[in-house]
Amino acid sequence: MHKKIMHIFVIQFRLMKNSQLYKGSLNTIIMKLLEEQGRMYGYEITQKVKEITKGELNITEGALYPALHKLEAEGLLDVEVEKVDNRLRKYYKLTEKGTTETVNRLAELEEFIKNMQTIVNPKLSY
Amino acid sequence: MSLSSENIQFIDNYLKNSEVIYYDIRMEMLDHVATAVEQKMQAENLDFYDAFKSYMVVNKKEILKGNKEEGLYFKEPLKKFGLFAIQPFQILLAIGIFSIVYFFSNIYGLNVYSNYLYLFIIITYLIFGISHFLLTKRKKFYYIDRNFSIIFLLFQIANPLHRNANENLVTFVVFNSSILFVFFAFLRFYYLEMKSFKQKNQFLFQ
Repeated sequence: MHKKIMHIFVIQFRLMKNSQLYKGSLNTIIMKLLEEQGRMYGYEITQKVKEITKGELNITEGALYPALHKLEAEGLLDVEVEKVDNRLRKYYKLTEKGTTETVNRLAELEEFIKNMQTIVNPKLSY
Repeated sequence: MSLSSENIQFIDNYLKNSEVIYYDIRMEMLDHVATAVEQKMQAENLDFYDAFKSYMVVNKKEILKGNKEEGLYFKEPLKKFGLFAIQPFQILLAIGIFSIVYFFSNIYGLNVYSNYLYLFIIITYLIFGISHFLLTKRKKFYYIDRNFSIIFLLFQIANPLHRNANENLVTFVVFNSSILFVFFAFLRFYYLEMKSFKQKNQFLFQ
Protein backbone atom coordinates (compact mmCIF):
# COMPACT_ATOMS: atom_id res chain seq x y z
CA MET A 1 0.00 0.00 0.00
CA HIS A 2 2.78 2.41 1.02
CA LYS A 3 4.70 1.58 -2.17
CA LYS A 4 1.60 2.26 -4.25
CA ILE A 5 1.11 5.68 -2.66
CA MET A 6 4.77 6.54 -3.27
CA HIS A 7 4.45 5.44 -6.88
CA ILE A 8 1.43 7.69 -7.37
CA PHE A 9 3.33 10.56 -5.72
CA VAL A 10 6.31 10.10 -8.05
CA ILE A 11 4.03 10.11 -11.09
CA GLN A 12 2.22 13.19 -9.75
CA PHE A 13 5.55 14.89 -9.08
CA ARG A 14 6.73 14.21 -12.62
CA LEU A 15 3.52 15.63 -14.03
CA MET A 16 3.86 18.72 -11.92
CA LYS A 17 7.45 19.24 -12.93
CA ASN A 18 7.92 22.68 -14.50
CA SER A 19 4.71 23.82 -12.85
CA GLN A 20 3.44 24.30 -9.31
CA LEU A 21 6.15 22.63 -7.24
CA TYR A 22 8.93 24.49 -8.96
CA LYS A 23 7.20 27.86 -9.20
CA GLY A 24 7.92 28.80 -5.61
CA SER A 25 11.57 27.82 -5.95
CA LEU A 26 12.33 29.57 -9.24
CA ASN A 27 13.76 32.72 -7.64
CA THR A 28 15.94 30.67 -5.31
CA ILE A 29 17.23 28.58 -8.23
CA ILE A 30 18.14 31.76 -10.14
CA MET A 31 19.85 33.32 -7.13
CA LYS A 32 21.78 30.15 -6.34
CA LEU A 33 23.06 29.98 -9.93
CA LEU A 34 24.14 33.62 -9.87
CA GLU A 35 25.87 33.06 -6.57
CA GLU A 36 27.94 30.28 -8.18
CA GLN A 37 28.51 31.81 -11.61
CA GLY A 38 28.94 35.49 -10.77
CA ARG A 39 26.94 36.94 -13.66
CA MET A 40 24.69 35.34 -16.26
CA TYR A 41 22.26 36.28 -19.05
CA GLY A 42 18.77 34.85 -19.52
CA TYR A 43 19.47 32.18 -22.13
CA GLU A 44 22.54 31.03 -20.21
CA ILE A 45 20.39 30.49 -17.06
CA THR A 46 17.87 28.30 -18.93
CA GLN A 47 20.69 26.20 -20.44
CA LYS A 48 22.58 25.86 -17.17
CA VAL A 49 19.47 24.59 -15.36
CA LYS A 50 18.84 22.10 -18.18
CA GLU A 51 22.46 20.97 -18.02
CA ILE A 52 22.56 20.52 -14.23
CA THR A 53 19.27 18.59 -14.13
CA LYS A 54 20.17 16.62 -17.29
CA GLY A 55 17.19 18.05 -19.15
CA GLU A 56 14.70 17.15 -16.39
CA LEU A 57 13.92 20.74 -15.45
CA ASN A 58 13.11 23.31 -18.09
CA ILE A 59 12.74 26.96 -17.07
CA THR A 60 10.51 28.63 -19.61
CA GLU A 61 11.20 32.11 -20.95
CA GLY A 62 7.74 33.25 -19.91
CA ALA A 63 8.58 32.49 -16.26
CA LEU A 64 12.28 33.38 -16.23
CA TYR A 65 12.26 36.99 -17.44
CA PRO A 66 9.42 38.27 -15.24
CA ALA A 67 11.20 36.59 -12.29
CA LEU A 68 14.51 38.27 -13.19
CA HIS A 69 12.81 41.66 -13.59
CA LYS A 70 11.06 41.29 -10.26
CA LEU A 71 14.30 40.39 -8.47
CA GLU A 72 15.93 43.39 -10.13
CA ALA A 73 13.10 45.70 -9.02
CA GLU A 74 13.44 44.37 -5.47
CA GLY A 75 17.10 45.36 -5.49
CA LEU A 76 18.34 41.76 -5.23
CA LEU A 77 19.90 41.77 -8.71
CA ASP A 78 21.97 44.31 -10.58
CA VAL A 79 22.27 44.49 -14.36
CA GLU A 80 25.03 45.19 -16.88
CA VAL A 81 24.29 45.67 -20.58
CA GLU A 82 27.07 44.85 -23.03
CA LYS A 83 27.42 44.68 -26.78
CA VAL A 84 28.00 41.07 -27.93
CA ASP A 85 27.99 39.93 -31.59
CA ASN A 86 25.90 42.71 -33.20
CA ARG A 87 23.41 42.80 -30.35
CA LEU A 88 23.01 43.88 -26.73
CA ARG A 89 23.19 41.39 -23.90
CA LYS A 90 21.82 41.96 -20.40
CA TYR A 91 23.79 40.28 -17.63
CA TYR A 92 22.41 39.79 -14.13
CA LYS A 93 24.41 39.54 -10.92
CA LEU A 94 23.57 39.52 -7.23
CA THR A 95 23.69 42.75 -5.26
CA GLU A 96 24.98 42.77 -1.69
CA LYS A 97 21.39 42.51 -0.48
CA GLY A 98 20.82 39.69 -2.99
CA THR A 99 23.80 37.70 -1.69
CA THR A 100 22.49 37.84 1.88
CA GLU A 101 18.98 36.96 0.72
CA THR A 102 20.31 33.94 -1.24
CA VAL A 103 21.75 32.45 1.96
CA ASN A 104 18.38 32.90 3.73
CA ARG A 105 16.34 31.48 0.87
CA LEU A 106 18.61 28.46 0.44
CA ALA A 107 18.34 27.67 4.14
CA GLU A 108 14.55 27.98 3.87
CA LEU A 109 14.47 25.70 0.83
CA GLU A 110 16.66 23.10 2.52
CA GLU A 111 14.34 23.12 5.52
CA PHE A 112 11.36 22.67 3.19
CA ILE A 113 12.98 19.71 1.42
CA LYS A 114 13.82 18.10 4.77
CA ASN A 115 10.24 18.49 5.98
CA MET A 116 8.81 17.15 2.75
CA GLN A 117 11.08 14.13 3.00
CA THR A 118 9.89 13.44 6.54
CA ILE A 119 6.28 13.58 5.40
CA VAL A 120 6.67 11.66 2.14
CA ASN A 121 9.14 9.01 3.19
CA PRO A 122 9.65 8.80 6.97
CA LYS A 123 12.00 5.80 6.67
CA LEU A 124 14.54 7.72 4.59
CA SER A 125 14.50 10.79 6.79
CA TYR A 126 16.95 11.27 9.60
CA MET B 1 28.45 30.81 -35.32
CA SER B 2 27.45 34.47 -34.89
CA LEU B 3 24.45 36.00 -36.63
CA SER B 4 24.97 38.89 -39.06
CA SER B 5 23.54 42.33 -38.35
CA GLU B 6 20.89 41.64 -41.07
CA ASN B 7 19.79 38.51 -39.19
CA ILE B 8 19.60 40.50 -35.95
CA GLN B 9 17.56 43.18 -37.71
CA PHE B 10 15.23 40.47 -39.05
CA ILE B 11 14.56 39.12 -35.53
CA ASP B 12 14.09 42.66 -34.20
CA ASN B 13 11.51 43.43 -36.90
CA TYR B 14 9.74 40.14 -36.20
CA LEU B 15 9.45 41.02 -32.50
CA LYS B 16 8.35 44.57 -33.31
CA ASN B 17 5.60 43.15 -35.55
CA SER B 18 4.61 40.86 -32.69
CA GLU B 19 3.88 44.04 -30.67
CA VAL B 20 6.88 43.93 -28.38
CA ILE B 21 6.89 47.72 -28.20
CA TYR B 22 9.24 48.27 -25.26
CA TYR B 23 12.86 48.47 -26.36
CA ASP B 24 14.34 47.19 -23.08
CA ILE B 25 12.13 44.07 -23.16
CA ARG B 26 12.66 43.54 -26.91
CA MET B 27 16.44 43.86 -26.62
CA GLU B 28 16.54 41.02 -24.08
CA MET B 29 14.15 38.82 -26.08
CA LEU B 30 16.19 39.44 -29.20
CA ASP B 31 19.39 38.24 -27.53
CA HIS B 32 17.56 35.15 -26.22
CA VAL B 33 16.16 34.21 -29.63
CA ALA B 34 19.43 35.02 -31.44
CA THR B 35 21.49 32.86 -29.07
CA ALA B 36 19.01 29.96 -29.35
CA VAL B 37 18.97 30.25 -33.16
CA GLU B 38 22.79 30.31 -33.29
CA GLN B 39 22.93 27.12 -31.24
CA LYS B 40 20.30 25.48 -33.43
CA MET B 41 22.15 26.43 -36.62
CA GLN B 42 25.28 24.84 -35.25
CA ALA B 43 23.71 21.74 -33.71
CA GLU B 44 21.45 20.87 -36.66
CA ASN B 45 23.49 22.40 -39.46
CA LEU B 46 20.66 24.67 -40.60
CA ASP B 47 20.72 28.08 -42.28
CA PHE B 48 19.42 31.15 -40.38
CA TYR B 49 15.86 31.21 -41.73
CA ASP B 50 15.24 27.48 -41.21
CA ALA B 51 16.69 27.58 -37.70
CA PHE B 52 14.65 30.70 -36.84
CA LYS B 53 11.44 29.24 -38.23
CA SER B 54 11.79 25.91 -36.45
CA TYR B 55 12.71 27.64 -33.16
CA MET B 56 9.80 30.08 -33.28
CA VAL B 57 7.23 27.41 -34.17
CA VAL B 58 7.91 25.74 -30.83
CA ASN B 59 8.84 28.71 -28.63
CA LYS B 60 6.96 31.77 -29.91
CA LYS B 61 4.16 31.60 -27.36
CA GLU B 62 6.55 31.24 -24.42
CA ILE B 63 8.92 33.97 -25.69
CA LEU B 64 6.13 36.50 -26.17
CA LYS B 65 4.81 35.89 -22.66
CA GLY B 66 7.65 38.15 -21.52
CA ASN B 67 5.82 41.01 -23.23
CA LYS B 68 2.95 40.74 -20.76
CA GLU B 69 4.15 41.65 -17.33
CA GLU B 70 0.93 43.30 -16.20
CA GLY B 71 1.32 41.79 -12.77
CA LEU B 72 4.27 44.07 -12.15
CA TYR B 73 2.66 47.15 -13.59
CA PHE B 74 1.20 48.67 -10.42
CA LYS B 75 2.69 46.70 -7.57
CA GLU B 76 6.43 47.12 -8.02
CA PRO B 77 6.60 50.84 -8.95
CA LEU B 78 4.11 51.69 -6.20
CA LYS B 79 6.15 49.82 -3.61
CA LYS B 80 9.33 51.53 -4.78
CA PHE B 81 7.66 54.94 -4.75
CA GLY B 82 6.26 54.28 -1.27
CA LEU B 83 9.75 53.62 0.08
CA PHE B 84 11.08 56.69 -1.77
CA ALA B 85 8.35 58.91 -0.30
CA ILE B 86 9.39 58.22 3.29
CA GLN B 87 13.06 59.18 2.78
CA PRO B 88 14.24 62.29 4.73
CA PHE B 89 14.26 64.66 1.71
CA GLN B 90 10.66 63.79 0.86
CA ILE B 91 9.57 64.16 4.50
CA LEU B 92 11.02 67.70 4.47
CA LEU B 93 9.23 68.35 1.18
CA ALA B 94 5.95 67.18 2.73
CA ILE B 95 6.38 69.49 5.73
CA GLY B 96 7.24 72.42 3.44
CA ILE B 97 4.21 71.84 1.17
CA PHE B 98 1.88 71.40 4.14
CA SER B 99 3.07 74.70 5.68
CA ILE B 100 2.72 76.65 2.42
CA VAL B 101 -0.78 75.29 1.71
CA TYR B 102 -1.85 76.03 5.30
CA PHE B 103 -0.42 79.55 5.18
CA PHE B 104 -1.96 80.52 1.83
CA SER B 105 -5.37 78.97 2.47
CA ASN B 106 -5.59 81.02 5.68
CA ILE B 107 -4.81 84.25 3.82
CA TYR B 108 -6.70 83.84 0.54
CA GLY B 109 -9.57 81.52 1.49
CA LEU B 110 -10.37 78.09 0.14
CA ASN B 111 -12.23 78.42 -3.16
CA VAL B 112 -9.97 80.83 -5.06
CA TYR B 113 -6.89 78.99 -4.03
CA SER B 114 -8.35 75.54 -4.80
CA ASN B 115 -9.10 76.42 -8.45
CA TYR B 116 -5.61 77.79 -9.08
CA LEU B 117 -4.02 74.80 -7.42
CA TYR B 118 -5.88 72.31 -9.55
CA LEU B 119 -5.16 74.27 -12.72
CA PHE B 120 -1.49 74.42 -11.81
CA ILE B 121 -1.32 70.63 -11.31
CA ILE B 122 -3.09 69.89 -14.59
CA ILE B 123 -0.80 72.23 -16.58
CA THR B 124 2.36 70.82 -14.96
CA TYR B 125 1.06 67.30 -15.58
CA LEU B 126 0.47 68.09 -19.25
CA ILE B 127 3.94 69.60 -19.69
CA PHE B 128 5.41 66.58 -17.96
CA GLY B 129 3.37 64.11 -20.06
CA ILE B 130 4.36 65.82 -23.32
CA SER B 131 8.06 65.87 -22.31
CA HIS B 132 7.88 62.15 -21.47
CA PHE B 133 6.21 61.43 -24.80
CA LEU B 134 8.88 63.37 -26.73
CA LEU B 135 11.71 61.75 -24.78
CA THR B 136 10.47 58.20 -25.45
CA LYS B 137 9.03 58.80 -28.92
CA ARG B 138 11.76 56.85 -30.71
CA LYS B 139 12.22 54.15 -28.11
CA LYS B 140 9.75 53.21 -25.42
CA PHE B 141 11.08 51.67 -22.23
CA TYR B 142 8.94 49.44 -20.05
CA TYR B 143 11.01 50.25 -16.99
CA ILE B 144 10.28 53.99 -17.41
CA ASP B 145 6.70 53.80 -18.64
CA ARG B 146 5.49 51.65 -15.78
CA ASN B 147 6.31 54.46 -13.33
CA PHE B 148 3.50 56.43 -14.94
CA SER B 149 0.99 54.11 -13.31
CA ILE B 150 1.63 56.00 -10.05
CA ILE B 151 0.49 59.33 -11.44
CA PHE B 152 -2.53 57.76 -13.18
CA LEU B 153 -3.56 56.16 -9.92
CA LEU B 154 -3.16 59.50 -8.13
CA PHE B 155 -5.53 61.22 -10.55
CA GLN B 156 -8.05 58.37 -10.34
CA ILE B 157 -8.16 58.73 -6.55
CA ALA B 158 -7.92 62.53 -6.39
CA ASN B 159 -10.65 63.38 -8.92
CA PRO B 160 -13.73 62.08 -7.06
CA LEU B 161 -12.43 63.37 -3.71
CA HIS B 162 -11.59 66.85 -4.97
CA ARG B 163 -14.97 68.54 -4.31
CA ASN B 164 -15.64 66.96 -0.92
CA ALA B 165 -12.24 68.02 0.34
CA ASN B 166 -13.15 71.72 0.08
CA GLU B 167 -15.72 71.55 2.89
CA ASN B 168 -13.52 72.76 5.72
CA LEU B 169 -10.01 74.04 6.32
CA VAL B 170 -8.63 70.81 7.80
CA THR B 171 -9.76 68.44 4.99
CA PHE B 172 -8.78 71.08 2.43
CA VAL B 173 -5.23 71.47 3.72
CA VAL B 174 -4.68 67.74 4.22
CA PHE B 175 -6.09 66.79 0.81
CA ASN B 176 -4.32 69.45 -1.23
CA SER B 177 -0.99 69.11 0.55
CA SER B 178 -1.13 65.35 -0.05
CA ILE B 179 -1.90 65.82 -3.75
CA LEU B 180 0.88 68.37 -4.17
CA PHE B 181 3.32 66.25 -2.20
CA VAL B 182 2.68 63.06 -4.21
CA PHE B 183 2.94 65.08 -7.40
CA PHE B 184 6.28 66.75 -6.60
CA ALA B 185 7.71 63.61 -5.01
CA PHE B 186 6.74 61.74 -8.19
CA LEU B 187 8.53 64.30 -10.40
CA ARG B 188 11.70 63.78 -8.38
CA PHE B 189 11.21 60.00 -8.34
CA TYR B 190 10.72 59.92 -12.12
CA TYR B 191 13.81 62.06 -12.72
CA LEU B 192 16.03 59.90 -10.45
CA GLU B 193 14.68 56.64 -11.89
CA MET B 194 15.29 57.86 -15.46
CA LYS B 195 18.81 58.98 -14.52
CA SER B 196 19.74 55.66 -12.89
CA PHE B 197 18.17 53.67 -15.76
CA LYS B 198 20.20 55.70 -18.27
CA GLN B 199 23.40 55.18 -16.30
CA LYS B 200 22.88 51.42 -16.08
CA ASN B 201 21.76 51.01 -19.69
CA GLN B 202 23.90 53.45 -21.66
CA PHE B 203 23.89 51.10 -24.67
CA LEU B 204 20.11 51.31 -24.98
CA PHE B 205 20.28 55.04 -25.70
CA GLN B 206 22.90 54.86 -28.45
